[in-house]
Amino acid sequence: MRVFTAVIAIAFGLLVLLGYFLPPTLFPTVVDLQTVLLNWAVILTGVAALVGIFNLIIVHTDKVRRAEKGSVYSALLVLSMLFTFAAGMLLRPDHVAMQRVVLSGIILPVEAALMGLLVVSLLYAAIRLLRRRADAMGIFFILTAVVIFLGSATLPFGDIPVISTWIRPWVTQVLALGGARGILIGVALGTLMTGLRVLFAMDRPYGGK
Amino acid sequence: MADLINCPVCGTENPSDQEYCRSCQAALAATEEGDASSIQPGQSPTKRQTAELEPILPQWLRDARDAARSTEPEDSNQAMPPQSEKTRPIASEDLLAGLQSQSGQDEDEDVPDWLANITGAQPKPKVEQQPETTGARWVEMGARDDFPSEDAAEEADMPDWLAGLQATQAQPEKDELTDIYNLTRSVNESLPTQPPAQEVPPEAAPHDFASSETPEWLRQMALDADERSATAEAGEQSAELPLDAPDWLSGLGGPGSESTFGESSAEVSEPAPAESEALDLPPSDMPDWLRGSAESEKPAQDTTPKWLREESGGASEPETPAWLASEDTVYLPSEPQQETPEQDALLVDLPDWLKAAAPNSSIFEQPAEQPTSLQETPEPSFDSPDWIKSLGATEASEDVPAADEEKSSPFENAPAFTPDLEGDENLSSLFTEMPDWLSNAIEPTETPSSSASSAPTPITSDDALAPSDLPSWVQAMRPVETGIVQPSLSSDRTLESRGALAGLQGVLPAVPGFAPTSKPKAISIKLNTNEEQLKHAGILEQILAAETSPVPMESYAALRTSRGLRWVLGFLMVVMIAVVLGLRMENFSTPLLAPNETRAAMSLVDALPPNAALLVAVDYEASRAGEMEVAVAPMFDQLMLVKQPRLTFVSTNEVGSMLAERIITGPLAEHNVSYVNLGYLSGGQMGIRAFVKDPVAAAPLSTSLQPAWESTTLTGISQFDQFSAVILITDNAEAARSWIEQTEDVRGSMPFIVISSAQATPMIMPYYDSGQVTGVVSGLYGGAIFEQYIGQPGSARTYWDAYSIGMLFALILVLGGGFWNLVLGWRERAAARGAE
Repeated sequence: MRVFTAVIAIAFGLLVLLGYFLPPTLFPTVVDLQTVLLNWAVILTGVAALVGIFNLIIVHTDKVRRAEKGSVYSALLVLSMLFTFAAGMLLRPDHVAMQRVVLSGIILPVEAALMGLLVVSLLYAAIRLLRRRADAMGIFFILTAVVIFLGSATLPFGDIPVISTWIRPWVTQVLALGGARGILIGVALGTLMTGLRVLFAMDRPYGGK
Repeated sequence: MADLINCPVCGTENPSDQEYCRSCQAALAATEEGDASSIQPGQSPTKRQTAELEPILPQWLRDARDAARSTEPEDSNQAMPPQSEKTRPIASEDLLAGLQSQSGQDEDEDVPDWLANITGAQPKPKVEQQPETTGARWVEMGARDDFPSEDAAEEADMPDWLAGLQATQAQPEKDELTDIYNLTRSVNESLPTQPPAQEVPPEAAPHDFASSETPEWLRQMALDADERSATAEAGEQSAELPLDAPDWLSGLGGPGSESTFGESSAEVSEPAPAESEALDLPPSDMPDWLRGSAESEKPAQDTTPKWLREESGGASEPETPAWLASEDTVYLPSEPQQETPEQDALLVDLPDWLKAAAPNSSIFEQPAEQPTSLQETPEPSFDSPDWIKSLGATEASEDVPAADEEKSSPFENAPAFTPDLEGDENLSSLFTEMPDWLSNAIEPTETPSSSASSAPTPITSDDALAPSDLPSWVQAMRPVETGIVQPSLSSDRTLESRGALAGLQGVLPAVPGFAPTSKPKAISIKLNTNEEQLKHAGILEQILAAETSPVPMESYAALRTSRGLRWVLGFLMVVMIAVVLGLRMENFSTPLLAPNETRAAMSLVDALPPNAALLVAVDYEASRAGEMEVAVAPMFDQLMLVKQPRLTFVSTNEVGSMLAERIITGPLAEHNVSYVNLGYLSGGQMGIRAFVKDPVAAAPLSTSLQPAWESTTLTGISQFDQFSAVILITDNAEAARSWIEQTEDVRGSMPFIVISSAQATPMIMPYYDSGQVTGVVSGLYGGAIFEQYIGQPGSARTYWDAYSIGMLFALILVLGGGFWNLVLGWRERAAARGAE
C-alpha cells in the first residue's frame, strides 16, 4: 500500500511538473492532464475547508453541551458561523446587507482594532527593548525604526531632508530588499527541495515512512 | 629314537651327541639336561622366586605375592644352585649404577622429579642397600608362577631384532662394548672380592643357578663355561673369550670373582652375537642409539665417545658405555663400604641428577649377604614401571634362543613361546612390556651375569665418569638448579579417589605454599584520618558537588509588564490620531518624491487600452482594508476616469470577494463599473494555477451564481492571457509570490501591477527589480503619491496628517522611552553587579 501511494504521488507530481515546462501546443494532453489534476486539488481543498468548518462547529458545540469554561464564547462562535453561512447562502456576498452588516459592521472594525492594538504593543516593546537588551543589535534596531519613521513621515514643509530622500529609500530598497530577496530565495530552495523529496518518495506526507 | 633329541627351538631331531641343532643351530644341551627352566613346547613355565623384584612391585602385586607365598612351598628355592660368592662388577660399566651407589651414600640427594617420573623410582632407605645375594636380575622379576604369562607375552612382544640379538650372542665379534667389558673386568679384578661373610647361604639364596628358576640356557652356558675353563688356562681368559664372545662380554662375568669369570666363558659369548646380529637388522627395527652402538663395532667407524674411552683408563680398545651396560646395575652392591676408594671418589664427582637415578638401580642392589632381610623389609610401596616388569619377561625369553643356532636365521627358527602362554599374550603384555632400548641393553650382559657370576661387583673408580668427561648430550640433560625447591612428586602418596584421576597416586602433588597457611587477615576499611584531612576531604566534596550541580543559564531579568505604560501609550496614540482626524488637519505636506515602482504603475495605467479587460485579484485581510483601499482608490479612480476598464474580481481569500464588493461600493461607487466577481478561488497556489490554465473551468460562476464567462464583462475572454492586465491587491507577500509565479508562463508580456501594503512591499520589490512585476503601489505612501499624480486629493490626503503625526509621535516615544529604559537597565545591572 505504501508503494502504491508513493507511485501515485510521484506520478501525479511529475505530470504536474511537466505541465510547467512542456508547451501546450506540442503536448496538449499533458497540459490538459495537469489542469484536471489541479482542478481536483482545488475541489479537494474546498472540501477540506468545509470539513474544517464542520469540525470547528462540532468541537465548540460539544463544549457548549458539556458547559465547559468559556462555553459562552463557543456558543457565540457557533451562532455567528451559522448566521453568516445562512446570510451568505441566502443573500450572497455581494448583497448590500452583507457588506454593511457582516463586513463593515463586524469584520473590518474587529480586525482593524487588533491592528491598532498591535501598534501599541510594538511601540511598547520598542521602548522597553533597551532596558532588557542594551546591546548593539538592540540599539541598531531602534535606530533603524527611528530612521524609517522619519523617512515615512513628512513635515509640514515636505519631506525630511536626507532621511526621506536618501536614507529611507536606501534602507528600504537596498537593505530591506536584499533581506527580502534572501528570504525569497531560501523559500524557493526549500520549496524545491520539498518537491524533489516528495517526487523521490523521500518524504511521504500522504502517509507511510 | 632314544639317541635323538628334539631341538627346543625348531623341534628338529638331532643326535644326542649333537651340541647344537643342525637345523636352527640352537643349543641342545639344555634339552639334554632336561632343565626345567627351559621351556619346551607345551610345557608350562616353572616357578621362580623373585624376591629382589618385590620392592619395585606395586603394592597390590606384592600383596598378591605374599598371599601366594604363604601357600606356596619353598622347595623350589632349594633347588637353586648357590650363586657365586662374589658379586659381579657390573657397576663398572654402568654409569647409572655407580650413581646409584653414590646416591645410596648421600641420602640428602633427592631424586629429580623428571627422573622419578620416568623411572617411577624414589629414594630408598638405607636398609635397602644390602649386599646383593645374586647378580641375576631375572630373579627379580619373580617366579614364573607369579608371572605366568610374562615370558610368553614378552617373547611375543619382543622385537625380532632383539630376539635375534639374544640368539646370536655367541658370535665372536669384537666391538667397543666388548672392549669396555674387558677393561672393566681387568679393573674389577683388582678390587677386593666379597668377604665370605657376605656369601649367601644356599638355603637363603633365592637365585641359585641350580634352582629350577634358573633359565635353561643360562645353565647351559654355565656348563659350557665350566667345560671351557677346564680345558683352557686360567690366566688366559681373555685369549679364550674372543673365540666365542667379545672381550667386553666376557668382562660381564664379574671382575669381582675370578672364578666367576672362569666359568663364564659360555655366557660371555652372548653379547657379541647379539650385537653382530643387530648389525644385520634393518635400520628401521633398531633404535638410533643402539644402531649407533652397533655401527661402532666397525673398526673404521669407532664412534665411541671420547669420554668413554678416557674412562676406560687409556685402553686402546673402546669401552662399552656404562649406561649401555645398565643391566649390570642390578648387580651393584649397595654397601658403600664394599666400594673401593677410587670408586667413591668418582661417584662423588658425578652429577646429582645421575646420582638421583640411584633408586632405579638400587632396587637391584640386593645384597647377597642379607637376602632374607630384603624379603622381610620390602621396599616402600611404589608402582613398578613397565620396563621393570618387562625385564623379567625378557629374561625368560632368553632361555629360548641358542647362540650358535640363531646366528644363521634367527627369525625363521625362532620358535614361538609355549602355546599355553601365547593365549595370555595381550593381557600379560600390559604388565611386561619393556622399552626396546632397555631390554636390548640389558640382554647382552644378562646372560653372562646370570651364568658366570652371581655376586655383584663393587664399583671402582673406573666405573664412574668424571664430570668433566660427560658428553655434551648428557650435560644438556642435567637439570638446571633454579634455586626453587620443588617438592618431590614421588613423596606424594595421595591416592586420587574420584574424578578423572581416580586410582592414580601422586599425580597431583600438594605443593606447600599453594594452600593457604592461615586465615586471611582482616583488613579494616575505616580510614585513618585526622581532623585536617577530614576538613580537606569536605572541601573537595563541596568542590565536586559544585561541579555536578546545574548552572543556571544566564538570562535577562524578566521585566514586569507595565500595564500603565501600555494604557498611556494606547491612550496617547488614539487621542492624538483622533484629534488630528477630527480636526481634518492638512498641515503636513504629502510626499513629493515618487518612487520608481509607483511611477511605473502610473505609466502602466496610462498605457492600458480603453475598456480593457482587467483581472483584479483581491487577496488582503479585512484588517488592512483601510490602508489597502486608500492605495487602491487613486489608481482605480484614474482607470475609471480614463480607461473605463472591465473588471473581473477573483480572490484566494475567503473575504476577498466581499472586499472586492466593498471597493466597488466604496471608492468606486461614483463610477459605473463593469465588473464580474468570480468569488473565492480555493486551493491557494493550485487554485491560482488552475485558474491560470483554465479560468472558465476554475471559476465558471460569479458570486451571484451567474455564468461569469457569458457576461458582457468577459466577452471574448476565455483564457487567462486574454486579459489586458492583472492588478494584484494584497497585503501578503506569499499571496503576491503565488500570483506572480503561477501566472508568469501564461501572461507573457501582460502588465502586472501590485498594490500592496507598506509591510509587504519590501518582499514584492525583488519581483519588481526582476521585471516580473510592472509596477508597485505601496500603501498610504503610494496612494498619496498617486493622488498627487492624478491631481485629485482623496482619502490619502485626509489620512496623511494623522499618519505623519502618529509616526513622529511614535518616533519620540521610541527614542525617549528607549533612552530612559537604557539608563534604567544600566542602573539595574550595575546594582546587580554591586550586590554580587
